[in-house]
Amino acid sequence: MALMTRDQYVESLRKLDLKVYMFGELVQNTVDHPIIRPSMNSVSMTYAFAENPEYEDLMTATSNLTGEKINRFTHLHQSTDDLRKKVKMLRLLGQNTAACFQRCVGMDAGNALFSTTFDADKAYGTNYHQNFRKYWEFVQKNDLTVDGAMTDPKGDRGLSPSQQADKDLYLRIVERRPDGVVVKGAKVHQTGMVNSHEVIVMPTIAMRPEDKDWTIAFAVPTDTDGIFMIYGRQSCDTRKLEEGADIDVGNKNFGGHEALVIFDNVFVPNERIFLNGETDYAGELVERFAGYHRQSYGGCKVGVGDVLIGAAALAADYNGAAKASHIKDKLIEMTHLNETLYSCGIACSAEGYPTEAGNYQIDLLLANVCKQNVTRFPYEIARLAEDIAGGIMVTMPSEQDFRDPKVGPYIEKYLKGVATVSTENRMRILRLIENLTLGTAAVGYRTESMHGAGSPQAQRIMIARQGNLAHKKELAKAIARIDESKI
Amino acid sequence: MKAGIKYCGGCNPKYDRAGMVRRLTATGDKTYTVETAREGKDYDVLVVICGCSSRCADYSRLKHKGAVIIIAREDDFSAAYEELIKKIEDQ
Repeated sequence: MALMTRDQYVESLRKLDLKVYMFGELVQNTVDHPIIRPSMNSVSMTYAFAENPEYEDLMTATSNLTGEKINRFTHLHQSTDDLRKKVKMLRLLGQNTAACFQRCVGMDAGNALFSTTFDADKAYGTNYHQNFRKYWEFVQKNDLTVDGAMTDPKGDRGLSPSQQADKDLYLRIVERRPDGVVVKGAKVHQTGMVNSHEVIVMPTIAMRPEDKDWTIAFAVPTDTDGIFMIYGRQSCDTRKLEEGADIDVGNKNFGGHEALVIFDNVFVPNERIFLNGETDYAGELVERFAGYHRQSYGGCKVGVGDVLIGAAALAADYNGAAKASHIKDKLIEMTHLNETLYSCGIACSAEGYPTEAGNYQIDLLLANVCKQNVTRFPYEIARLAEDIAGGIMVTMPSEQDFRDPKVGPYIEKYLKGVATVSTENRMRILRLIENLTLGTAAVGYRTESMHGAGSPQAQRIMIARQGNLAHKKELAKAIARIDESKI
Repeated sequence: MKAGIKYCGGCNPKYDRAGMVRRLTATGDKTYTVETAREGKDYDVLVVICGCSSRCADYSRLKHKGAVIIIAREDDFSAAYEELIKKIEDQ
């Protein structure tokens, strides 16, 4: 089974024995929980679209490990064309979920580990690359969803892992056994963990020699003994629990999620270890994973942006304001910003290059420029969407009031826009804009755009490193005809 | 005669790609059949439905008898249909 159907995916999740806590209680059924279900639906689209001939050209690829047709989310990129298709696939899914579909993080972790394990083995004579190939073949053959867990709680940001007062603030090895290691710690804001079969754990920063015990990369099933998750709250999340809030939720079918994941003395067998104490390769792994993930945002956020631009345009139509020149100009600006993000995603892919291991890596400078723009442009797109939508987006009554026989007719009458559009449809599009700009989906579209795949300063550091300033100085000297030998 | 349909991935479609295939199917004069192209099968004609001008659909693994028709915009329909009929007559 190299490709799972959507139904098979859903059923496969039911077989997991996940420990997920929400509002102080252990969730008995994660698949059907009304707050979790929309996020699961988003991941399920990665399976549904792979089955659909209209989308399979982006959604599937041919495995370099098995030669089989696989879901692109488990693919090891074999060309710059693969890198471009990844960005297009993410845009497609963003367009059709208006949410985070969570599966890219495992793909990015897989590609980063494939090349980093190869490099570490070459330097140290270790066997991580074979471990990883075998593991990834298992992922591809079973079409698994894999969470990529990088971000540690980090405690005091001014101290390294080994200097922390509480040594568990970075996930670490607490016991070494002949057959594996035992790890303890946590990973924060884990996107998609509750909808994943497996989790890949990686270090979160470059390590120093004294941080050996914190330099660990591995993979385990998400229901491994000792792992439990505490579900992250989202703005307006309990609207999903309300009866008759179909309009109020904004996006009833799809969503995303994050969780705080605790690793409480989790055993990892040797064959699932991909880095173990080689501190000088932690930085490479982090840099490569972050590079891929910063490329990803040039696709997924753009797809969600497409929906938001469409929603803003519809709101203008329904308000009767579509012909106003400033509205047209704002929609142009939103499109310009969105397509600039896409251009960056495509550019860093087109300029990709083969690693020694054989898979393709994106251009690091352009990927970091991409993500730096993502920390800004969705905010401006969201601001313009709110501008076009009008204040009624956040002040209108609930769906329950709209359905109420006594006050409902007043809402119907006084929230009417143009006569040919129903008040309900106007409310629906305004609630979608609310959802994307400050509701549950704003977690993915706004704050995740800021901090996901690294906060803005992380990209600026990379841009400084990759910017080739020395070359630019030489160019200026040549044009200005400067001879520095003359004092 | 058998025409295989290959879609691009559909991230930026400028027209209704599935609608285009429905038109091709409906307009057909029963001298050809249309189906989604699958690897391992051989097609008399391959019709590649691209949603935009980048035409990024990868049909390199699909077998065909040398006849490939690429559609990348709504206006391509008439020319594509005529080409399809011509290919049928040629074969």
